Amino acid sequence: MQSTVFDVVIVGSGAAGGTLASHLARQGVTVALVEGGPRVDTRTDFNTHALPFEFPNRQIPAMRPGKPGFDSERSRGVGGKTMLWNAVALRFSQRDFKGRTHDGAGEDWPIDYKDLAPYYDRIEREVGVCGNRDGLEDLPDGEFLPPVPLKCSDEILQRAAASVGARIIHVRKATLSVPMNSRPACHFCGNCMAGCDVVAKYNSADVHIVPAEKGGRVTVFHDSIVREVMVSGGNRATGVRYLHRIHKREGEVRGRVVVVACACAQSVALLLMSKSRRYPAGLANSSGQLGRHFIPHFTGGIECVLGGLKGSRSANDEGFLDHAYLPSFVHGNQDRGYARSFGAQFNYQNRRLAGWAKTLPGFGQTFKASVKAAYPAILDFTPYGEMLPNGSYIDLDPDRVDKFGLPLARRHVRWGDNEEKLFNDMVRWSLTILQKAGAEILTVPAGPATNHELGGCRMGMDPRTSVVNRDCRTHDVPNLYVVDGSVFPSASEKNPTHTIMALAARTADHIADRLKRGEA
Amino acid sequence: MSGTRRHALKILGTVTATCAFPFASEELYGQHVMFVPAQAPAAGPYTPSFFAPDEYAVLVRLTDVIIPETDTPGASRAGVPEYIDRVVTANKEHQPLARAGLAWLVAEARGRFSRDYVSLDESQHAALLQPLSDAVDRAAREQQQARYRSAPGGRIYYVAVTDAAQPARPAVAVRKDSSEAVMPERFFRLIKNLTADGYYTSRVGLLEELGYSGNKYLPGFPQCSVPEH
Repeated sequence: MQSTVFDVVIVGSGAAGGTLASHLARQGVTVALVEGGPRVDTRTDFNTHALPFEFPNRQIPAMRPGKPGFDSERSRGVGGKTMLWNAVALRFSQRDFKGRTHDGAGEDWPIDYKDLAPYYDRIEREVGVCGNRDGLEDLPDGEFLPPVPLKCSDEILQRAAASVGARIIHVRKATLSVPMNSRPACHFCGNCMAGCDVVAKYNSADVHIVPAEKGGRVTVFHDSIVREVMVSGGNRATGVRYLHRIHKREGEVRGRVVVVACACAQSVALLLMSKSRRYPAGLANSSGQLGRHFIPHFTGGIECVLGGLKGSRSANDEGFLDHAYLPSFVHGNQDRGYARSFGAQFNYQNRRLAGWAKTLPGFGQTFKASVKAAYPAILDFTPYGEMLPNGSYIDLDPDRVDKFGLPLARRHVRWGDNEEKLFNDMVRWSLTILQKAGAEILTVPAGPATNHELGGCRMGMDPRTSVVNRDCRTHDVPNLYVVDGSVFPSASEKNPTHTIMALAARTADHIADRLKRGEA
Repeated sequence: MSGTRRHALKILGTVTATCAFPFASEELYGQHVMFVPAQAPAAGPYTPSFFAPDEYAVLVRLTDVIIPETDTPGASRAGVPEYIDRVVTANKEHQPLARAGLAWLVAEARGRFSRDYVSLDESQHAALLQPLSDAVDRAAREQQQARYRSAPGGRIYYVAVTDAAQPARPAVAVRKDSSEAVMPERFFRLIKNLTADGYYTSRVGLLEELGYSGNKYLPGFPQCSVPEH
């Protein structure tokens, strides 16, 4: 039982929680950061540089022997998903914030691009985002570090895309292309998603949390799985109750403000679990909107062999995975027959696994030769589409619990008419570009897969149709906030993390301001 | 690369994007169970734990027919039979098929060529395996073509039951060839898949055959030097 009352208690230490903690601490606010997983050190704990033949089953475990486990299901560990993310950092555009106004479907955000722009600037300055200033209306430029060169295969695709009116640009990633703030530049070992051991790639633990802890205002409660947000009779959040991951004892952390920032479905689940007489259907759910409007991205991965590189000499071209990006290019076409659009990530495959080899025909010498010829030319291409709020939702499983006895979150994903049209069009465009690039298609998607979970605690002006207001504050409880992908009213097709971090920085300013004025 | 750096690379061990990143290729076929990992391979000759010695001899020969020795070693010298034995030991669902398939090969060799399987010549191996390989390739091709055609129809409603939500996909009608195909074809597909996975993740397959040269410190990423096509 903690007797300290912190200014702010934050649940979750990923992109949102880490950014919030750091930005609050800099403004003199005391923070308790409550994280369900262990403290992990990206320099030493992940199996960053292993190769498959070092393991009899050829599967490389995430963690080195004897290191605390990083819950791969829920990315529990200090740093959350930023420890293993691919670091793509894209600004949303005004169209992304005003999708309903633009094409009549889905929802508008209650904020505009100009509200987040200064925070995008701030995040780019402090974490370092490399990229090129491309002058695209739909993908705003930022304060970028120099871009990294495109791969040969990107240049081939770039010419193919240009021939159908699409533009391929340098990827924008929160990975350093030049040294910054005592972090080295990326050395292109290709292991970004296995835990960057030099912190060239942003992770919230090393870039935001640890420095803030040294400043003395941030206290990390790791291995503490929050099971309830506590609320007083006066309708104020008073702190959180947690279950210790190792010794299973319960504990409490109390604060003047509580922020739920433990990733989309888990944030929804935590609020749904936090039932009381006043909130029998879950905390901050008087509207019944909690868990609704779940809008994850959907993808359709294609694997191919680029003709121009087939049979070439094997090159060390893993780089920092994808070096290029295909921004949305169909949103200007009013006749496309569906709302919203798609972008594509590609050329992120590593070259240390060849799971595709078995899909090549035949056996014997010709098979062996065909694998070798395809190897330098293998390319993965994945378009990402935006899902409209279509009835998809998150709830708690009434029958099943996890190993801590807590209910499991369920995702109910509905496949609507717009999604179907958009999916088919994005796969068709992808195949068109790949075929123009001289690619032989190895595999096409069996159907869409979901990625980047978003929605469930929708941000909006109307308390009857949303969970949080434009400041990420819940409509129901005046000192309770939600900051992560769950608040997105519209998902965009762009990777969400940069926007989550900008929202966190903006919310930190808002909370610090309220605390100073004695309002929180 | 400095000695220190090389050492660091060696002792640090990678997850290969098992996180929520949609790599287009399917998971390594048949690897459902994690073995206890070891940093160093065991010394000495391998004793198979699932396969009997005579079965194992047939398996060794078969893997070398699928990936033969050329200017680089073939499957058996790359440790593929050991890998397959481990996978089949750990995944019981493969055991009946593996055993039945090897017995089928032995019987076919005896019946058609009056020889032991391990002493068949190249043309006899081809006569046995080519029809199976062709059938497997045809089924895979049809499956891909069906995907082009089968635009997800209707409004499919599906539920991801746990926090591990990534498998969530609308159900698209894809022909399940494994249940329909005959045993020898299914057996060939299993062993080819395992042989390819085992070979190209081995030291020999990855470094010598494919020429993998990554996982190094690069001071900068080189500009592309391939001329325009």
